[in-house]
Amino acid sequence: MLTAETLTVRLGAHEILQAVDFTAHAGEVTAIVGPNGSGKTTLLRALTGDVAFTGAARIGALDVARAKPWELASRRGVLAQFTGVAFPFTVAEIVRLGQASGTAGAATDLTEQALARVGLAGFAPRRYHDLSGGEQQRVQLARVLAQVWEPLDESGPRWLVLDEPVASLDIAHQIEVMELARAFARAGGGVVAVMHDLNLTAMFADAVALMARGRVVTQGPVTAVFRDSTLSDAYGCKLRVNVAPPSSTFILPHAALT
Amino acid sequence: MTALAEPIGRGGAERASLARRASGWLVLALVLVSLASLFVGATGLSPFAFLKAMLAGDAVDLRTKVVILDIRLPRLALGLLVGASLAVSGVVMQGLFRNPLADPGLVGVSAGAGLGAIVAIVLGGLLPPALAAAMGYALVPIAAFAGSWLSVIVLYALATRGGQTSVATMLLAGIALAALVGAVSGTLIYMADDAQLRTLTFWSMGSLGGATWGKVAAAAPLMLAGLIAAPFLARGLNALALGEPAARHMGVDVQVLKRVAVVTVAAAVGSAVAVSGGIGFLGIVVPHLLRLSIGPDHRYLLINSALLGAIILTLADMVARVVVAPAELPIGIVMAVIGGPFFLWILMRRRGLMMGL
Ligand SMILES: Nc1ncnc2c1ncn2[C@@H]1O[C@H](COP(=O)(O)OP(=O)(O)OP(=O)(O)O)[C@@H](O)[C@H]1O
Ligand SMILES: [Mg+2]
Repeated sequence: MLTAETLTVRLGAHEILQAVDFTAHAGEVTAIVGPNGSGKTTLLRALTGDVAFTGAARIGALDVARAKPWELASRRGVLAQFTGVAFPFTVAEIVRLGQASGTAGAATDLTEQALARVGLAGFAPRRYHDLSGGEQQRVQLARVLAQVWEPLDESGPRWLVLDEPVASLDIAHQIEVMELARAFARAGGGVVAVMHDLNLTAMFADAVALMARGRVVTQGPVTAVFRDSTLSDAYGCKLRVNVAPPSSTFILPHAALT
Repeated sequence: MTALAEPIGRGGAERASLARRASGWLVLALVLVSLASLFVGATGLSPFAFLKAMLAGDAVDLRTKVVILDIRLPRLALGLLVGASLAVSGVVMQGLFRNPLADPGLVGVSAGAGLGAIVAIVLGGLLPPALAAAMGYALVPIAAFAGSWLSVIVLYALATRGGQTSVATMLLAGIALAALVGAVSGTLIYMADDAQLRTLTFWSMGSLGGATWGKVAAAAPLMLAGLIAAPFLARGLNALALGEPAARHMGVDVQVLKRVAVVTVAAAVGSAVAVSGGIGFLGIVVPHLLRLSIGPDHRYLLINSALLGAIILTLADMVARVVVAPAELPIGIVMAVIGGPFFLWILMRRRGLMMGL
């Protein structure tokens, strides 16, 4: 389990997160949604130990505030909203950085497998800076995958913590990456992903936390959180949740319907 | 040189084997250059005659023995250590600042060392005569060393808040500190007499002249410590190329990495500058050339930079000794005259590669 209890983050004079409670279970994809500036990235940064906070954050048995960087690295991988790379590394070198920092060790080279999972088979020898934005983001995801690789081991589940993993991807790769996340969860690991695309969230998330103004407004199964009034209040625009036959959920802006 | 021409498109594994082969060639070159440097200079000596005499146990004539063992050998040792230290420190600084143009000067080492040297040269006369006599020629190196450490400590303290060191603050504070140090140095230079000015000028142009085993023994431990510590930073520096958060996510204790890197550079460069004066250029050119050929992986870059730095400085020192023999050119001038155009040529040829560095 990955948990935050009364997590409060203060940056400068502002309280960016206010007593946030958040829980994600292994075996599930947990999405964090909410408007720009609502604190999604900040919540992830607290959960990964990147900002100081009061309250408690735990990943399995690890207390995030106390654990050493390498202890955390063996339990979870983190994909940032953006990762810049200094120096002309190749794709393979970057993915291998992830593998070297995880527990898979260097016994077998996971580079090709990890790249194939994100649809980049054959990209290993390319220079990272020559790739397109979406390709670069998928290389970073492959690096994170190579770090955590086994979703479940004797000391429990591993976690993928992803900040907008599909933001710069085309629709086919969005689905590919979300399927990958779901497969990781089904194999016993845990996934926490910040999402902006509510339809994709409805399709792939098992649980959703909805944030607004530095708080988690509600958290629960998709059908419980995605309701017209809840979403409209949080985002500040009229939204209608539609259920298409037979059972998939989709969201359209209200303006498109009238 | 095919290595320089074709770095793109190589996979990591190929680059790694390329890097290992490069190390082999560089070791070979290092041995050859070292041998050559022992037998090239103001007094020409035949290596074969010397080796034959040594091996046969004959009495080598005293003059030859003194020239080789007491003058050229310590000078060679110093050149190898200084060259390797400057190049490796360049790699570490560039990795730490995530910028291929960073050099050891950025953390204030060079400015501090320069100020120390100037203070010693200009104000050395104010010391109690007994103390000055005891320190003798060691006064300038010791002052340079103290100056470099002092400035590194000040910068590190300025850039550290609540246990977190901001690399950007260090960079900016380094610029401010360098300006301040420049003002103080300028004032002292203004006060200096002609003899002191001359000493200063030669110091700032760098030289391996006057190397003795005593100097080597004094400076080698810290340079060696830096050279031995550097490879342990390789994994951390590789991760840091993806930024501080990503490095932390991959298990690197970034704060410890920064501290060790800064101390390593201060130790290596502080003592290198103390014994050889201002030798610029190596710290940026050597890592850059190697990145173009074997790639940016620090596990290979650090070692190969040490080798190539040692080779280039030893070569430059040989040139410095022979072109105007029996006089000597300052090595800083040789480095600039040969290195400048060569570096420009590489840049022009590979301009496309600068993108995304
Ligand atoms: N270092 C900082 N200092 C001050 N305010 C900050 C800092 N970092 C973030 N904030 C503020 O905290 C709020 C939450 O930021 P956060 O990045 O968590 O938003 P987000 O929900 O991820 O938004 P987005 O959807 O745009 O990525 C924003 O209003 C932002 O301006
Ligand atoms: Mg965000």
